[in-house]
Amino acid sequence: MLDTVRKIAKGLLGQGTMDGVLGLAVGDGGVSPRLFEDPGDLGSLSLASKWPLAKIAVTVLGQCPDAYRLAVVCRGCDERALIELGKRNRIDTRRLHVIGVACSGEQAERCLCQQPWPSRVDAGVRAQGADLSGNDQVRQYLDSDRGVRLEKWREAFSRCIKCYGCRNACPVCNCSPCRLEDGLWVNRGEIAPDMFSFHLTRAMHVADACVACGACQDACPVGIPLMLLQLPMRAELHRSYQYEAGTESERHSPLLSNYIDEPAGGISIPDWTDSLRKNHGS
Amino acid sequence: MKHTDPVDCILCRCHGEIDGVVDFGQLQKQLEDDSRLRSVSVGNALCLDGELESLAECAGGRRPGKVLIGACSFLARGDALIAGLENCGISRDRVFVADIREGCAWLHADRPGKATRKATDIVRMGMTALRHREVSADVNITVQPRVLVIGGGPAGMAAAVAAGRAGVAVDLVETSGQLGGMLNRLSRVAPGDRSAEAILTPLLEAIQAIPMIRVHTGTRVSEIRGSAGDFDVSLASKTGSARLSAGAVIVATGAKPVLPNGQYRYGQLSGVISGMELEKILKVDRSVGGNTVFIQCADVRNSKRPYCSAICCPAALKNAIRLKEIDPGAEVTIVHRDIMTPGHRLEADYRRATAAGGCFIRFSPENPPRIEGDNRVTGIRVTDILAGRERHLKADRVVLGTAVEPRIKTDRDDPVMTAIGLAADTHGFYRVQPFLHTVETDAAGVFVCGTARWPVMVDGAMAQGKAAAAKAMDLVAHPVRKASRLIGFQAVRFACARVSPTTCSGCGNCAAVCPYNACGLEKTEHGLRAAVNPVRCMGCGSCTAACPNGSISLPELGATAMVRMIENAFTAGNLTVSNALNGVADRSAPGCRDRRNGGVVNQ
Amino acid sequence: MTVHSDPGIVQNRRDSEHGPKILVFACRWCAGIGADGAGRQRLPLPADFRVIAVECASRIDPDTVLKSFSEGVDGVAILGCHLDGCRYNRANHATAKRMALLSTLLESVGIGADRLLTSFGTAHEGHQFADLMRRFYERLQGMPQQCRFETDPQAVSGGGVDHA
Repeated sequence: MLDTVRKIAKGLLGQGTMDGVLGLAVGDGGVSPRLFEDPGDLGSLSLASKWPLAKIAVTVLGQCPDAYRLAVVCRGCDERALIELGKRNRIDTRRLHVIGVACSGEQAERCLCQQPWPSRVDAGVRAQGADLSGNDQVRQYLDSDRGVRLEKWREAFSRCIKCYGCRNACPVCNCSPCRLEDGLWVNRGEIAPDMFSFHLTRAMHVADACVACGACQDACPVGIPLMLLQLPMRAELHRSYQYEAGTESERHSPLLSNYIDEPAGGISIPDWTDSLRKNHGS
Repeated sequence: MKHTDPVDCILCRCHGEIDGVVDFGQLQKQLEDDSRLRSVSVGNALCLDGELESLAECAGGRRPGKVLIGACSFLARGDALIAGLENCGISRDRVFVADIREGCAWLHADRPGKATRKATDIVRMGMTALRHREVSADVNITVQPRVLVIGGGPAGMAAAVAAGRAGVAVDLVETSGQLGGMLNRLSRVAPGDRSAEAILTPLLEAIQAIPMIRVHTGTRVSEIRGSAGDFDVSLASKTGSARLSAGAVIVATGAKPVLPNGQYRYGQLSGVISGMELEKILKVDRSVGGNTVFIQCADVRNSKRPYCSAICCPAALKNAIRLKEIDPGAEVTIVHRDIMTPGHRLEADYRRATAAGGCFIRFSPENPPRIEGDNRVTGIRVTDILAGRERHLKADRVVLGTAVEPRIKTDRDDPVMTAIGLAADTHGFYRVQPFLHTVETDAAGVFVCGTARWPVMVDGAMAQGKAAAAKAMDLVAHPVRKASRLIGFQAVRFACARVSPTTCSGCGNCAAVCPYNACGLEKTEHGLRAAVNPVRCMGCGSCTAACPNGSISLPELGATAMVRMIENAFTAGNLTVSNALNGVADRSAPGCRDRRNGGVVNQ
Repeated sequence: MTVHSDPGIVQNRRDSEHGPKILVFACRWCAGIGADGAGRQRLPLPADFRVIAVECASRIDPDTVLKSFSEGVDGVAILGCHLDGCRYNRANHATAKRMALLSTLLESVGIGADRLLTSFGTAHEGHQFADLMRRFYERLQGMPQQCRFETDPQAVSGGGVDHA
């Protein structure tokens, strides 16, 4: 698989179709993102680790001249993230070329990923998405009784040291300044930060853009299962609007439109008017 | 206006209505201790006898400051108090009326202790809203003294004549080759039996006679840009294109007849015709005879078109009367689900139809009539609900009532109108303001009349056209208008969204969510940034809610005001946290911390 | 947590009703008219709710709701006009969608979706508003409350009170 990607990259750079290829490279001390521009110098290219390259692609394109064409070695989540960033005008996806890499089944299980492949697979074979029903963490944090869930989440959030790693690592998180650093909304100097104004606010902000890449969870130094925070909302968006972030570049988030332009399946407008009448789980 | 401006608080006893429940002694003390207020005074009944004005003067009304009033609700006398202070020279944006009567004293008379605490909180919330309120920019717009009328049917013509007669310049645009719309296709017009010419000819003559009206037939509107006061209209016709400007737009594009395809063997059996086809026959042929059966509610009032089309019953009645006049021996029957004849003139038509010998048979939608005949229709079978049995009617002709439906299905089919903020309802008719149901739409400067708005008969369409003309004339009457006053139905716009270009990242959420297409992205030196059209913005706050970091907001109710209001909402009385949801039960939640010592949040 | 068993304080606690605290965001049109109507009809209601009036419910975003919970509120109500009757051209639709998604999050984390009440068009008359508030109170009463009012300032010095 690595050889396939190297070959593609070499071809693109050699023929001058692309000016640079963004991927991960093995170097001293480990794997890090690298912009390859020399077709003869692809030896250090690596697929071993996982790191979302979308934000780095934004930075690279921002610093390069307008005519620069960039190829990016993308997993499924990388491509989805790039599409979401494109919708939010952070990046012009027309300047990008995707070298699609499919993830293995084990990687998908680690990431709880349902769609571990990009829209075009140049290297690797499509594996099956992760089976969430058998996952222990999912069960504890999302499937148990309300009281048990609350305790588990409280305990997890109490470990937070407010490092902002989740926010920094998230490929679709890009505001400057960020509301999470605004003393009006999030109290300064408070560790662990308040669950509502920090964690749940962040979860809502990325809710319709989350591409389930798991970067937040990977970045968290205290092991808060942040992916699980987004899963129910992603499922809800899929169920109600058949919407999945990162899969359609021409379709905006359903949260930005009304029910006429973007109907919700199973909800007819006059009926859903008083949420007290809906039955909620215990 | 700054948030450090001094605030004077005036409480109203409301003759005991408020202070009979709320302990003003305690309330005053709490407020006097609050360093955010400059003074606290009490009035007996602020809405009477100039009491408010003199208190405002004593409280320092002449020195720049803000006034916080604790009194009744906005719907009661609150608005009058604000107006009263405006007459004293204190502008509206410096005044806040906190509702401690309908919102407190009158709801909690049985709990005076809690009511007092609640009143304190309500006043504090008002105080903080007032402190952090900023003022939206308001622009002057130059109004083009012209009105564009789209559609040359009865509604459009009536609108054009009304505006033209008043001396306003009108551009009347019609896609077909001639004016008249539905009047060109009708033989007679209900109610009564005026001929279509009797209505059309005077209108055409009037339009001809008024030089202020420019008629563009064979022309359609290809694009409209701009907003109220200054619409930039592009026209397209076979001969070329043109551009004109207009201060107001009247949409009178009508609706299209529903061809009853697939209903009652229409299109398959000769002799089964639509109501419009009967009109055509009646216009030219005076010897229309034979037994006729009218079937109403064809392909309307069902799940596909769940509305009554209003015009088909009157049409059937007048045509039934006509047929009986021509051929008194013919059997004329109207087979219906209901006969809709609002008003005394239509009711008179109904009685005339029965007096002339017309029969009426009622069927249920579960059991519609069945058409009989092989090459040509011979009769129908229908279960008469009232008689309780099936009837067999001979028929030489079956006329299916013609309903109307909108020309578009959704906003997506109508890019020209959507671009200026005109929206369609679930059926496809253009939306007018809810509750008032007049001719005003959600888009300032755009008015709708006639069947484009809702199925209506010719007289109703003409009346609506005149109403739309009146509204349009009102708008273009002044050469300069303030943008905040363009919303006719709301009197004054609450706010106009404001963008902070240094923090905006150009994500486009606000542009996508704005219900009025008032927010767009434009290239600036900082990059792509949001920009607000100050004429189209109605101050709803959708953009403020959609922006992830507060780059766009309503100055009158921004993030600071909102958060401070929340923080001040439950400050009276002492609070401690015993079971915080955020799991930090062993110390007070941040908001509670400051209140622990009985103090207040100092913002 | 420190336990206070001073009989005076315990008595105080029993005397004062501890209702769940509700923050209501009401639009000026339907909901505001309903709230005003309830007042005009003198319909008795528990006094532990506060109303923040906005021009349109579309002004309210999940951050505001979450901030309210963070400040110790037990329930948040968003009251707006009927989804077909928004004066601002369906601006309340996006709000309805956002709040539905927020409910999902609140439920999945265990806080409870029923702490967030949304009503679009069912509170525009006085008795409807009152009825809705009462039902919301009842629902919240069955759930743990965040903050409690204490009448005795001494009671809070330890930073915590037991539930006895």
